[in-house]
Amino acid sequence: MDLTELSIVSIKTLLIYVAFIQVVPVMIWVERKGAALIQDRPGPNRVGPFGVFQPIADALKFLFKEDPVPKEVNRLLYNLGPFLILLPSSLIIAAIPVGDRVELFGRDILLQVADIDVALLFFLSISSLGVYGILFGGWASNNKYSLLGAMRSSSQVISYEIPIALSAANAVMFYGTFSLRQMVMQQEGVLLGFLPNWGIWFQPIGFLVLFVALFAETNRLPFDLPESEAELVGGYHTEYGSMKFAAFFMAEYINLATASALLVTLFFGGWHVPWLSDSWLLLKLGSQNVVALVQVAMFLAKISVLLCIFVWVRWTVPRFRFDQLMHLAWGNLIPLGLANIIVTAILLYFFEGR
Amino acid sequence: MEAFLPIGILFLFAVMLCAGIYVLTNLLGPRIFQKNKLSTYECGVQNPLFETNARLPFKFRFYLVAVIFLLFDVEGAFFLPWALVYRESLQLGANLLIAMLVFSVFIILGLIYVFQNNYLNVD
Amino acid sequence: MNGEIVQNLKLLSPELVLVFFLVVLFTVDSIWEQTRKNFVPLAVVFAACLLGTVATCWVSKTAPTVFFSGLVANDNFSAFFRYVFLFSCAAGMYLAFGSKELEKQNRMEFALLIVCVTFGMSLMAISTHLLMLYIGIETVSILSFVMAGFKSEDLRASEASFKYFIFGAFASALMLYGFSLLYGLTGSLQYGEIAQYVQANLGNMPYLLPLSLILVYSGLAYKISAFPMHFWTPDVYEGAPTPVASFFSVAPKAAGLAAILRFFLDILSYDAASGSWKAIGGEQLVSVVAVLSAITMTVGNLSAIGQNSVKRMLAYSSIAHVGYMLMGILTLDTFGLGAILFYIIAYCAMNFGAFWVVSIVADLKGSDRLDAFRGLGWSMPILGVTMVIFLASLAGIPMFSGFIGKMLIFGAIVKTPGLLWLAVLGVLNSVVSLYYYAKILRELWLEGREPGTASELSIYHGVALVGLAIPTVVLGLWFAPVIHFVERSIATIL
Repeated sequence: MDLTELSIVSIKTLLIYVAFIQVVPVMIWVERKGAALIQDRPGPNRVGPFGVFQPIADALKFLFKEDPVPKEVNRLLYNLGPFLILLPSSLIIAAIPVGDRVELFGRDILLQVADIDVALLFFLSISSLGVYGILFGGWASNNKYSLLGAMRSSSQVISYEIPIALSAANAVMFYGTFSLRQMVMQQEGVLLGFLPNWGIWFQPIGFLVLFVALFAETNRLPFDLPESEAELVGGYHTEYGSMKFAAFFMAEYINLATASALLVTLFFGGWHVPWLSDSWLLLKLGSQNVVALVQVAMFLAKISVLLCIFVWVRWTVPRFRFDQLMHLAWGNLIPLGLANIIVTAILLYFFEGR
Repeated sequence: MEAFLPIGILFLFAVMLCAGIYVLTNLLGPRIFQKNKLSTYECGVQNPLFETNARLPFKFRFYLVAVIFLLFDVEGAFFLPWALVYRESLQLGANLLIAMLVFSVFIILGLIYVFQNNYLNVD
Repeated sequence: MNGEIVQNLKLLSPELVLVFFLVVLFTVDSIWEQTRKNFVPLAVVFAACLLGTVATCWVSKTAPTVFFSGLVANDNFSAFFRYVFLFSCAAGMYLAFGSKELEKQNRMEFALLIVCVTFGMSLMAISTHLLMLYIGIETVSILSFVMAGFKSEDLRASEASFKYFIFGAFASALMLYGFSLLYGLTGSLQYGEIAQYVQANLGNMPYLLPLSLILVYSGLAYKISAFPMHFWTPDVYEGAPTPVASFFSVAPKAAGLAAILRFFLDILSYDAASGSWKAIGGEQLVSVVAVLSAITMTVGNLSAIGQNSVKRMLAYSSIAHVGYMLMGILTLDTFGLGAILFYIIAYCAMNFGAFWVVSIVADLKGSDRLDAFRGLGWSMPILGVTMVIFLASLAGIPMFSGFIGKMLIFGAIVKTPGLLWLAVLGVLNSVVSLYYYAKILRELWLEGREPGTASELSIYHGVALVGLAIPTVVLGLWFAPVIHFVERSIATIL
């Protein structure tokens, strides 16, 4: 790879990465305003017009606070905890197709950090690494409550990884490829004349399973027992101060963004404008770059809708108890996912076999 | 391997971000030494030595959850490559379908076994 | 469906029968609560073994083939071992059912375990691919760990299971290392292709090849508890429940020997002129195996002398018997190897019988020490007489099957040039073994009966003991058809 290619790739990576990190302050604001809306109160409205600078104020507050380290912690693991949570969240961004091509400097640049053939597999495996950060945080804190919170949180996260794998298998079965970009390409245009050609019409139950499981993977209400323990007694991030504490929440929001991106890619058509095909757009708008802008805007719009749904569910639904949570994963989601795969396989055989 | 290079670059950026967070906190935050800050959070109960020890006996139930997760994750990992080739293989007959059905029978039996014996009752 | 796959599955039908009954057991277990204590698991296991035997008969009529693209082989050798495993599965389940040690446990789970172990052992015996062998070995090993610790409230059983597990993990790692070295050298994991490589490189053998074979042997030696991987045997047999120990002493050993025979026979070949093995060092390998089997015999026999616990004594004696059986490998011809198979049949019956008696006594008296046997010969005559038969056969006294087995093996050794010392050592070891077997017999018959202990032997156990004693006696007198059978079996893999 020569230098121009390398620099183009680096700049593209940086741009996409920074774009995803911007989700964190936006989400902080959306969450608090959305909570206020649902709970019939004003929400943050002092820091800027409608409180839009609230996240900046939060970030500055976190930066300038002291970082107290208790005496009996395991230094290495303590410092490694937030690090290990942020890393997988950041790496997942690489697999997500943000838009189609852009033609700049005479080259075709794909709007995806890395167009790998096994993007879905990459997503599944890297997101599984998030458990390490939770466990290290809880164990290193040398606090009974942290440890128990970390144990429960990690067992929740790993229990909900299996429905994600099963739902992903379902999607792979349907699209025939692991590459997220190919999956989006297959969701172009119109289906049956009046529906946008999205994946959700073909796999509604897969969507349901993935949706619920992603709630639990990102430790989001109604599955936020680990975080609620932080509010009440302890949790895996009790002993952390200032920016390390913020790192846990940054990781959660970035996970939320990537989870929404996965849902959009698999089930809602990715960066396609609904009902319109890419070639029609190219015809109407002329340049590929403008089309790319429209596609990226569409992608962001779809992610925003999903994020708003996440926030909406969070402030509407009460929290699950831990054993209810585990029973939901093992007793409901996994059998549902398995049954989904079997039924889809049988149906595919009858429609396309021999 | 070419396609994975951007991931390496992203990894470097992520590491820089995390390191930046650490450096900034250390630079910008004050450091006021107070004895109380040395102990871990204990719901208001004061530990006179400011030393706590969380190395409790490990609850066995969590280990069971982890092991059962391992089994079912491996099963999920078996489903993924099967799903990749399933649609094309339908041209050649129902072999893969029957194979997967037999495999699922064993998985379902395992799931039923886990539930009958209540192994996942973590509380 | 694809015709070839169906054909291959037909050849695998004994194992498929076992799998089907596994599914049946699972289903019955989850639906029906009461079956955990009554006789339904036993009936299902018997049905499985019966159907498995029928399937084996049916399958063994077809010509010897290596199917599933080189993974497994179906020939008379595999049929022989399938019969052995099915029989030991049925016998082990029967013993477990009558034993008071396992009364409070979930018998359906035990049935599941034993059927699955039998399936794994069949895989070991029929596999012609190193990965398949590994799958079989791990299935048997891991389920054996669980079976050894089946009485979870008994500390000694848990300790035995834990020791077994640690040792098994270590041996597994060694074996895998050997497998990877073999793969690196020959580029294939299939026995046939490894044999081709060895044949092609007879002149210049890379030094890694004997090393890898030694590593693979050590993993398999763990399974059959030969020296130097025999250290787990006494502890595990003593700690595990007696029915489980009796099953361990027979079935996995036969499976390990089947795997060893199949693997090493494919790789090595015998040169009758010089009496050495072609390929891989010729004479050195013969003397290495001879020395290993000699040490195994001696260690087993000498360690058993001082034992007070009969289960431990029988464990050491099983190590010694493995030493005898390993001696048969040294002559790579039909006669010597057929002797091993005959010895396996004889050993199966007599060792099961001996452990059965120990199990009955342990249930009765609560311990397996020597003095628990005192005077039982007079109060329970069937027990006493059959124990005499079993122990005499184990020691190699004429008129019993053990003697015929030893005679065949020693005979094969004597015919081989340069191994006379081994045969002499074997005979001396048999004499030593007679001492500790006689200790049990002395306790049974010669120490006088204890007053007031008139115990009855239940029909359940009585039938089994007589059923095992009869072949032990009969095989000692009329063994020609069995010899033909085993020679036919072994000829298919030579």
